[in-house]
Amino acid sequence: MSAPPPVRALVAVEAAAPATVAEALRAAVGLTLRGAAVEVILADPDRPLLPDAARARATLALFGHPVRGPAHLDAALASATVIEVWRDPPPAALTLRPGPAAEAGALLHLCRSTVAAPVAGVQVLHLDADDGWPDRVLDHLLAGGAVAVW
Amino acid sequence: MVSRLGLVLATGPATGDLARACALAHAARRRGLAVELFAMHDGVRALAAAPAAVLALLDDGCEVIACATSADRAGIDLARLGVTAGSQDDHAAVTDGRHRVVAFT
Repeated sequence: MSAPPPVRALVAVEAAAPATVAEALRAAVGLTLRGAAVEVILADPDRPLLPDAARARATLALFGHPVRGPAHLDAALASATVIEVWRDPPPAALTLRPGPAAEAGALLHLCRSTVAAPVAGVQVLHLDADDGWPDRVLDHLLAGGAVAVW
Repeated sequence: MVSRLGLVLATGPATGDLARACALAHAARRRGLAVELFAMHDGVRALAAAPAAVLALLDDGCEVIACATSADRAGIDLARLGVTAGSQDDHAAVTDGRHRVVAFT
């Protein structure tokens, strides 16, 4: 059996709640367990972390998985095959904002009904807007695209 | 050839994300795709709050796995829900490069 294609995972941490940030970093470490290249983008990289989160961040850095600030978001979005956006529940405001450079890849932004589109001009589908959204998402995925849920 | 959809759920009952994940899962099953859902953090609480939705996923042939660490923290009995207790290794497995992934986190 051939080896699976490499996974490039992006964990974008939008959440302000410290416990959620810690869980996002634990998830990022988890994603590395089968060889994925993981990149973490923190909306506020200078915010103090809970001890568990700090350990997870150090573990990621030790194994060469970058943990960086929002300036790297677009490049990470453009190359990721798996995207996890960890955020506080809507309608909490988003601070991470993908720009046009994020469109370099085949990326579809899925927006919960209570969340505005990340930025004008990018490929956006509003979840719950019509009954057919799951099939549109599947069409995109099966065509080789990635999705980010905001 | 992609034959599997991976779903990651880390948000709680109030977000409605479990219903969205279920809608995707059932649509994928109608296309003959295998479906695996991994829940962690508040996603485990979402599963516990909607046992009928979990049962519908299982009845439709989906695999449902939840992080045992998150379940322990929340005091949730995964076996009673019919959900497999897993670990972060299952999280990594769900995002295997042969799969397509949607994360509600």
